Amino acid sequence: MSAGRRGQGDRAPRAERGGAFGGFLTPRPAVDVGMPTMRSSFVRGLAVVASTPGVVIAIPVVLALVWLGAVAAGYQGPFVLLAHTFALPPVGTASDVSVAARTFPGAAIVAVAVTIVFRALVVAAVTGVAVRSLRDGRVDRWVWVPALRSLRAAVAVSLASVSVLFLAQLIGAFLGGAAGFGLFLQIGAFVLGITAFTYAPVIAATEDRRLADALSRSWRAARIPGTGGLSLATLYVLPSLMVLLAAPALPGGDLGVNPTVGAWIFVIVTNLIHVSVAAMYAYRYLSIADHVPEPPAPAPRRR
Amino acid sequence: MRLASASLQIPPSRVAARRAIAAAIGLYSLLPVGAAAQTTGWSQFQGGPAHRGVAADGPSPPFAEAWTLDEPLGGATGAEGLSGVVAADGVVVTVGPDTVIALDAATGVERWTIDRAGGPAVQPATAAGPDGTILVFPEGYGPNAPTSATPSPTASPVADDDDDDARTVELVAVALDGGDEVWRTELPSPSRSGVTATADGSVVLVGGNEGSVSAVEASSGDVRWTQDVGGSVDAAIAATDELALVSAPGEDGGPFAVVGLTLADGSEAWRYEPGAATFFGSPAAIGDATAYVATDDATVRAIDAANGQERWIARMNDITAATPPIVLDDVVIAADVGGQVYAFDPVSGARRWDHALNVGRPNVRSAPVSVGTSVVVPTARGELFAVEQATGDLVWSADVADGLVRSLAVADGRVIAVRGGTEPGLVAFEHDPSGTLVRIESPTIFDAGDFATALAVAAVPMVLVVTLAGKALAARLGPPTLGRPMPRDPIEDAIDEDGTT
Repeated sequence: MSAGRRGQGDRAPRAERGGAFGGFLTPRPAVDVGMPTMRSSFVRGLAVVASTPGVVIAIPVVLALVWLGAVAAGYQGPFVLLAHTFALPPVGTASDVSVAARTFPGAAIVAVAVTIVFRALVVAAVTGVAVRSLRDGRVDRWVWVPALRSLRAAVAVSLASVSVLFLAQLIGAFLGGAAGFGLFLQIGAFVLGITAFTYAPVIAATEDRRLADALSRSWRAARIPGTGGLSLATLYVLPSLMVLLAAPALPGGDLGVNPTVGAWIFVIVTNLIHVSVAAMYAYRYLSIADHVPEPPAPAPRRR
Repeated sequence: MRLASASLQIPPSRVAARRAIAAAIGLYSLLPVGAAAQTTGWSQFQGGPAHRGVAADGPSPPFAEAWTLDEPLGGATGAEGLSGVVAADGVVVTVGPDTVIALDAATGVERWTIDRAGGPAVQPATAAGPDGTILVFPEGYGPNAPTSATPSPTASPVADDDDDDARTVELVAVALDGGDEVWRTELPSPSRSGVTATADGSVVLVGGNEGSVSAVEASSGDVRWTQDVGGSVDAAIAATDELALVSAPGEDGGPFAVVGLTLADGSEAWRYEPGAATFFGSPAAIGDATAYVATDDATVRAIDAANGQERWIARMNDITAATPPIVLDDVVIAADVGGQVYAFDPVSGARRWDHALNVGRPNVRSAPVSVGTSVVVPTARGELFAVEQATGDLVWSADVADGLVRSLAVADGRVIAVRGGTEPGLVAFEHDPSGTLVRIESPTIFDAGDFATALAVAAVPMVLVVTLAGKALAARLGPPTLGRPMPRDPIEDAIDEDGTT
């Protein structure tokens, strides 16, 4: 042991950290916070969505409008990429990038801007629906209130998702030689993105917090031990990614602007699941909100 | 390197004897001599030096099989296959790794065959030789000759004579009417570009995989010039009356460029580089003083053939497999690797129509050709599609092989393709009067009725079923138990107090 280094026996309890990343580095509390199981969470999310006719109707209507808008802008398919229209970022972001790149070829900035704005609006709307339904037991016209509250966080999450995706692509290309490493990196980026950011819009919609606080609190909530955040994100990401990878073989995987009945069914069902997952995450956060540690108080300045 | 069959070499005395005999009977003036001989038919890649890919008088669909040639893939790897065919004077010729085969264009009956000492089976060209039309093709793999796929019973570290032949790279000219050798010239490096002959057939151009371009006199085999353009010249070289247009990546993997070389002396007239992120592109196709190339950024680019200035860029949904556009007088047609065919205005680049064949990518790897009023597209899945040039409608399609179909040529009322799969070789198609045409619009044309019907049929029952099931589920679950009473939203409190909810 080198001089000045503590041994195992006399290690002091870790103090709460201050500074810019203090919130992200807060020690993880080893307590049972009563997080619902994955199964019960998903069933609750599904019930919230499926029992609300407005939401169930809104999904195909929004999909039709998005499709008509994309086609009007020059997109020619495949329609199956809309299967992730209501997906959580960065899964939905990856799908947005594909559609935007084909719709606005050669205009990368426009494509990225459209991607960020569109995904933020979707996240805010889905968060508004989920929060209103869980908290008040109904989804009415006042959904816009929590949706609007979550919008700033949704924009930040959308922006972060685009950054994470580009970073994963960049690193994958840089390390390119290893077979499959790019895909592995992409999966990791998706799982990390879902785990880290998913609660942020819900926090912004339900608690009076600043944006940075909502983001760091989302991370702290995800890090609570025993809540299965990574496993759940992986379970969500893998099938979603498979849809993207297998797109040409799926209904609606061909180029064309008149989707078949089969393609519509596939895309609507997939989006119902995505909205249910968003509601599931809202439910999970609202169930454990009390147990999420607060960020450490900033250390007093030395004179 | 020498051809295996000594009888194929024409001694100068024999040439002189022919001329003497012809003169004696007063027919000397009828012999095509040197540059005066204009080759006709499908003389090279995409039909001619401009690579326009157009056979206006070709057969119209529907097609039926006219004849086939079964020829094993062969070569050192056992999987090399045949080159695209050239056709002239009722003869079609294809180059295999180990043989050159000439067939009757109408019947597919073999006219002659000569041995070839290895080398990539790349597109040959017909040109104007000293005594008539000649077939010109490269021979030899160069120093990196692949080892034989057939295991030798006695492994030897010493290369045998065949290996030596395969390591020498030469350009070989043989008479089209019999396969007799006319001349051969050593090349600086192996060629995958194939051979291009100028419009008058007087000069042949061949690219090397070390960046060289050689211009060779068709009448004598003398090298007029050799020029280095950068990276490997794997794409067929296009030619105008004054310029050779070379599509090649930059040296050491640098960006792709189209280089205009002066035919007279090989000097670089201009260089067009689409951008730092473009690494490969198609051979140029030239029409009306404009060259068109498809590049790996999913674009078709029009370039002024005289000075290399960019005229327009048109976008596609996918990249091309380095297949050049088809250039007709009033439209430019390109196909991407996924099988979407696009028609562009040759002046503005505006898209006129497109048709998504949806064959999966990357299954269009070979250049489509314009035959009569249709564009014929071969696929790696063994299909042929015919798309009407005027409308973009699909008018005919068929499965014609159990492997890839590629390298189309049109001659003597036949569309001739190279095919792979379990029956590799050539297959020729002719018009089938008893066949059936179809008329299918592109799936990329919006149909409001189809769109609304499919949406309604899918969504309405689903909404009903999901909502009913959801209500039942929610009733069974009861209200959610959240971790703590949610704070009331002051806005909603105000709304509730006003009684507006």
